[in-house]
Amino acid sequence: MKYLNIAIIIFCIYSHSTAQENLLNLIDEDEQNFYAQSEFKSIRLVSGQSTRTPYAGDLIFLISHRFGRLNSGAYEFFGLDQATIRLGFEYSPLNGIALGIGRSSYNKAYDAYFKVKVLEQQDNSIASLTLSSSLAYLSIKNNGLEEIISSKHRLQYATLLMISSRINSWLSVQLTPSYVHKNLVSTEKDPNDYFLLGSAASLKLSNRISFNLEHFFLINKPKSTNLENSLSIGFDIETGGHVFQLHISNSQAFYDSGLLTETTGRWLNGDIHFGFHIIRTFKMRRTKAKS
Amino acid sequence: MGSKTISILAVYLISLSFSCRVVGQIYKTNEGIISFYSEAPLENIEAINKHVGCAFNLENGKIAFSLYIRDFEFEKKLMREHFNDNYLESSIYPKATFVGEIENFNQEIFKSGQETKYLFIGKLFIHGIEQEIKTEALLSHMKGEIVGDAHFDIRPADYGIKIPKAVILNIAEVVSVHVKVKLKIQSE
Repeated sequence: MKYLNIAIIIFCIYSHSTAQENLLNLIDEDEQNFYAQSEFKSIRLVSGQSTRTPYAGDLIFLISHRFGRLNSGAYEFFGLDQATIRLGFEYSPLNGIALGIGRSSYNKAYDAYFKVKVLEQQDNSIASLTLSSSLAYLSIKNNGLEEIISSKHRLQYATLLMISSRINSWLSVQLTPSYVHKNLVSTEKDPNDYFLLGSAASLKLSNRISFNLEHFFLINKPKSTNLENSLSIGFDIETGGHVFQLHISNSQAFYDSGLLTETTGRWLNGDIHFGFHIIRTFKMRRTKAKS
Repeated sequence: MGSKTISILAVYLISLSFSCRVVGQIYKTNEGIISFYSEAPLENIEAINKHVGCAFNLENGKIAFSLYIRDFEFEKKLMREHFNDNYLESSIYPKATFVGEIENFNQEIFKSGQETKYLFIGKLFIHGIEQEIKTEALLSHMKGEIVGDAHFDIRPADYGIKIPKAVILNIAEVVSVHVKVKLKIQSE
């Protein structure tokens, strides 16, 4: 009996103290703007593309650096003495569309691509879907072959279908079925068409740092060549308007067709290259009027 | 149970029902506007939230605000992404709230209809941290509507919002906040 009184008194006191919070409860508000964390920190996953496109009106400047092979010894400073670089831009005129151009010192290749984000997970879709189509023109002078090679032989094409999804707060994955066509290949036995399946994962270590893995499996790997599957491992570090991506990879090229089908390095052999991307976003125009 | 117990129980329960209900005249809105402005050497940051919920009890001068961090709109979408993911961590702390009251509230003065300054004190809850703040606000009461306007400053550091050294010239240590609400009386 006494306990019942005490229990009721405690209940009364409790409900008195929640009277103020009831004012807060009167506000029946739903979130108006949907927002979900993007799957990846930048437009590049490790070496290759991610489903991400720049925000409309943003221009992205991309400096990509790849050093020589780690197993080239101390004299070559473990590959740091040999460097290949790609400078590129990616611009989004409209939401979900991106146009990119770049030039690599590797094979002195000029590349251009367009990317279309067909589905965005942030719009309540189960996954993001981005299509990318690129062209590379290898302008390197092949000693002695100038008479045989015409401009069209220097062209390579790559088409990527990227499907990505943020699984939970710390993990995102991407699958990239790809097709590469090269107008000119080394020998008669080498195919001109290559089919690949890329797979990648991004693990968020903190708000600004993530650890990423990227692999491209060459489905129709020809027995005649020494081609290897591209495997890259990297870290993303984001600071304000820059994203720094540090990576190690057995591939050397940055343009899609080269990255996917010109890898000859073997990880277990030490044929791996240290490299990095520096990605800087510039806002070119206002996307929303000031209120 | 005896009849004495039942009557005691009845008294308790009736008083209970009075304390649970919010008694008084409630003015509400779901379209309050809160904007903030940060001025720093390299960059000025501005954002606006047009879906702020607010409830005000004219009977006792108590007020409550609630907003979703994700409803803040920025000119640069990349800034919105950094704001939500890195600074406010809106996936962990989706809402910010304020619960407070007018100091020395007198309902009679309030009904004057003129624009008058009042001092609000209360608890501001952002990014999982609660801080007591005081601010003056201009309120005017006309035809079943209360219009309120307030300016105050807050320090992101007070709410556990870490600003890395790399962007210290881009984000100010003190951010100015502007609150504008038009509250309409709620019929019971």
